[in-house]
Amino acid sequence: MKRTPIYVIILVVACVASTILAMKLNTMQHSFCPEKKDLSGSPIAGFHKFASDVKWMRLVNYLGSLNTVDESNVKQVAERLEELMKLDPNLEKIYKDGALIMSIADPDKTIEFLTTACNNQYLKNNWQIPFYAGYVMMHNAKPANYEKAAEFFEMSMKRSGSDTGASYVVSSFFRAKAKDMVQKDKSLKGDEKLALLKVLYGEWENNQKMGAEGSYRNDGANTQNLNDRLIKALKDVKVASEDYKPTSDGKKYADMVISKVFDKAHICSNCTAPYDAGEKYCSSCGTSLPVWGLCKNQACKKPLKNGNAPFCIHCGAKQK
Amino acid sequence: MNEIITIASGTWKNVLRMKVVYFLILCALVLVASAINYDVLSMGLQKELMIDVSLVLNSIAAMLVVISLTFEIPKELREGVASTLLSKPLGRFQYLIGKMFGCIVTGAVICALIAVGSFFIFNMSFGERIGVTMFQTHLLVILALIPMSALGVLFAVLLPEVIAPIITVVVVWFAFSTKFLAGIPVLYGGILPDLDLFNFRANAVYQVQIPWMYVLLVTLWGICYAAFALSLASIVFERKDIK
Repeated sequence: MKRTPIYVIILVVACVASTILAMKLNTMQHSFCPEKKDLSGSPIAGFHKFASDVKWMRLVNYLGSLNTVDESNVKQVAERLEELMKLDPNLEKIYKDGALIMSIADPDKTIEFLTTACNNQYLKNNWQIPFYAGYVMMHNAKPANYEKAAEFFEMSMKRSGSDTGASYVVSSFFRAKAKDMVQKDKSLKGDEKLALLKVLYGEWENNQKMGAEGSYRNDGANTQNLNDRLIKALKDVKVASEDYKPTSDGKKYADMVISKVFDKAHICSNCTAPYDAGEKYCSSCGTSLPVWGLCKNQACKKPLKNGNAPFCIHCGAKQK
Repeated sequence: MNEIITIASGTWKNVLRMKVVYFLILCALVLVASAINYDVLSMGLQKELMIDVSLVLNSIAAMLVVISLTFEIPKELREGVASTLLSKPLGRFQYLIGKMFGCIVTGAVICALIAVGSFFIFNMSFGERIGVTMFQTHLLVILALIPMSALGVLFAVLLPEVIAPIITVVVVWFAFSTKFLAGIPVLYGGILPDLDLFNFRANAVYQVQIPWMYVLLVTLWGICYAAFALSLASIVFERKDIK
């Protein structure tokens, strides 16, 4: 009985120390484990991960019993996915395999799930999830939100870094921007090819301002050549195809792009085919071309090797 | 100190000399190894499943060891073993601390065996080295035994033999869900434990490393909470009439 006061003192001191430490630890835990605060509050003794494993396998089993995910069962699938997200928000498969299953039946819910995944701290380096979000927004959502889709594609581009397997992300980004431009700018009259050229030229101009000629972004995330895409877009705008007839506005704009971007690249103003030194007419479309790369010697005037050799291979005259 | 170690060794010897314990450990390891067969059903998540199952089984093993303590103390009190021990120059506090220490050692040995076995199975199954986080999470399961054992001692002293194990299980179970009380000082972490501070099963799966400073501080919290629970148990035990 005489020891009771000592126990009381220990009890009080230990209680105060425990509560101070617990509060500090709780904050620390959230700093390196931020998903903890979003976890389900169900009292399952911390077995959230195990419960999610079991639920995931049950979901796989359930999906196997369905012929397709449509309006009749999409709600149940979404509910199961939501439960999984509350148990283990870091589980990539929920979004990459689970959410995409219902992208046609309920694109809005799919985008909601994928947006949550995009904001997930653990999945912050995953570039496929924002790509899927953009893709669903562009192809499945009704009406399609191209502006938001472009934002997702841009996020994906930034995350993919130098991953060469992600070239289609860049294409999707520009396509989304072009579609958004068509949707907003009525003067384009639905001309997506011209819109794409405008988007690419706008990007080229931005890069020029930032001093990153030839790359999409100044952050060096993508090293694919913007000029190649511009050439293809110019060709699409200038050359008629089965489903496209070039417009005068488009041609005018393309000429302006060629004069600004490809003033030294020597490409045909009609069909954008590159031509060599000394050629007077385009070998692809027969258009008259401004001749370049000739020998300075008036008596010679023959094409130089590669168009810029320091000496003429025909007369030996020095060019510079 | 010698008296405490004597009581503790009696506790761990009682459990660790039982062959059934090792049979159960073997069963746990078989369950861990069986996770590799879930590759199709889990759509390629069998590795993650194996890590998680090993941690779940380790936590259950720790919980069972604590439950065994809640059976042991009332049994010793009922059968008069405790009164024989306490008639020697041994304080009641030393008896309780010895029981708690014995429970921690028992749990640590069993959990360590499961952890090492799981690491071996994981390595054999996937040919991968054991990550630091996997080691840390198993270590935290073992460290969680400190506050859990103290709770076991508290309820074994406080409650009758039949109710003590049930209440211990319920309290330990709900002690993982006290985060919502985080804004209430003294109650959170002081009176009511937060065993979720030791729970990083998802981290082990996703290889998100836990700072060693955190491991150190959470051990300190476990010790402080054990001191709180044990001093409360001692106050009650001092007043208890032991036959």
